[in-house]
Amino acid sequence: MGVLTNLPLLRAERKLTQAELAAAVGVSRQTVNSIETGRFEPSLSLALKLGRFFETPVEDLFALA
Amino acid sequence: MVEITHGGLWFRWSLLGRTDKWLAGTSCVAGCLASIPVAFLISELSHEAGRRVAGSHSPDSPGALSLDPIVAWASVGLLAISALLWWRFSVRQDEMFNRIQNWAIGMAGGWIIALLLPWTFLAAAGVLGPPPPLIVFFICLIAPSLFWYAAVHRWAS
Repeated sequence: MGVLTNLPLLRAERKLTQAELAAAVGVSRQTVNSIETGRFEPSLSLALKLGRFFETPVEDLFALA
Repeated sequence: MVEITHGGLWFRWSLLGRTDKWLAGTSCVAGCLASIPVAFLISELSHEAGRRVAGSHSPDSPGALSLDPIVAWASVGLLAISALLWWRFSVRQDEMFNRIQNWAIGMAGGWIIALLLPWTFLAAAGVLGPPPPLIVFFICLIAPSLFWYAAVHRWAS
């Protein structure tokens, strides 16, 4: 069972590049890309960091496929 | 933070900071230096194989180690330095890199144990000969590499 995310939409709304988002949450741009394409499921702490950055609950960022 | 490129074969060095470059680069150099004696062993084996093909025999048995103890200890020391520096490099990277690496090492370790432990038991019972050192070296080199590429393909490509 995979994980769906609307991270690309949220990032585009704020006009951020993957590299800028990666720097903001302390991961590599490659990690952000892998999360957005659904290849990599972030840990709870990274998911919470993303939620805090976008001021969005984690449940609104990620959902089970 | 490091980015893995070329399907797992290389890193995007331009993204690494000065400390990361030093840690990774020095680790790789130490690992390569530690592996130099293996090249001489491979050379010995190749010569032995050539002699057997040519029909002339040598008292040396293929796979037998003929390393000087000082060289062997130096290699072990360099490997330890390489591993320590790589560990220091790894803890500075993000969770995806560490997940890839830890999965690869864990899977490889499991398969290496599954292969070498029974072999060792059977060798102790005289059923098989002991695992030749070069075979052990190549298993320990190839197994983590295969699982590393699989992990990169799964998570990062």
